[in-house]
Amino acid sequence: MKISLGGIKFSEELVHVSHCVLSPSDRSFVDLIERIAEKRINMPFICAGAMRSTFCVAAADFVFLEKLLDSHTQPSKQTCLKPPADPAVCDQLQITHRVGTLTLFPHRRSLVMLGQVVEILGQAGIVIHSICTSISAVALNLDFHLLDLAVEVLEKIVELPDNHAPFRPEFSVKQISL
Amino acid sequence: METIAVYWEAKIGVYGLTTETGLSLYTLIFPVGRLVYWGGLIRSLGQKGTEFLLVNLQQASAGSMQLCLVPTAGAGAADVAELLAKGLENETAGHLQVTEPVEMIYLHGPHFQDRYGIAEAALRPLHNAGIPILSAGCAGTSVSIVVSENRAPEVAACLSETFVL
Repeated sequence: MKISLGGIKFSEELVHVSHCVLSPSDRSFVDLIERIAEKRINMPFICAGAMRSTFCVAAADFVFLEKLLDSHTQPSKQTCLKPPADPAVCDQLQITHRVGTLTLFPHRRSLVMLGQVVEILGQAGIVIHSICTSISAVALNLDFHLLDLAVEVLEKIVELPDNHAPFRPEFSVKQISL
Repeated sequence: METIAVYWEAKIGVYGLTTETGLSLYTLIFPVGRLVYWGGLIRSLGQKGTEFLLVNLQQASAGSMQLCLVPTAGAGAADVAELLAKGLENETAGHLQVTEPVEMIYLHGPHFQDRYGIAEAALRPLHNAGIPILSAGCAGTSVSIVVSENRAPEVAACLSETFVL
């Protein structure tokens, strides 16, 4: 039996940033997101742990973020997940370009749905860069050019409403200050 | 087409703040290439009746992934540690840490995913107050924060600096 979903949506193209602090008292991540907020750059996705945090910004905003990162630390750039050459090294910043968020909703707190999604995407060779859940949705960061393929794969296990809206956003909301 | 929303808030408005107590945080580290295997175990947990409040997955150092799972406090939660520990028996490199009890605070508001400064407004006051954040996520219209036992009231007090609670 297929899993019934209310919908799937795609984000715009994003840049995925993974940041590592050196100790719990290290302020570098908080300082970074403070400067990002000062520059009015939105982070549509963030997943934070005690030592490592991951966030995304729109690809169009990366030029502004890059200037902040240049003064923050020297990032190691990559286009997909690969282990560092030296496992002992904890790169403070890892940047992955051309990422997109696939949002599935509602999740109904179902680990069956979440586990099956992770399994089937992995079996199809689609790399999952990160996942974060909200109250009702699961957000998965994948390679941007694989979002359509991911839906094709997921349609084997999920059922969408007949009148489903387009996956890609038809408009964007941008906050500006007065 | 571009739609621009213009508004101003002295403090960020939210629809509500919810606190859940008596929870467990499972932090699992496993090799990047083993995601399908762990996806199957997560599915098995669901089939045993376990539901989640929070799932975060991100890259850890040294070619590994970190999964943070906070199950609901209801039926099935007792199976989680046992099943994850059994799952580790098939891993050459993996680690499970169970932190309990923990508390989770989540708040949701209008267009959080479209607005700058939301994550900073949530995390900076906690860091400034010295409250360790065990796990946190901001996606969609929600912000979720996991902290140690009895810290939720402090978290709410800190968040009231930046959010209208």
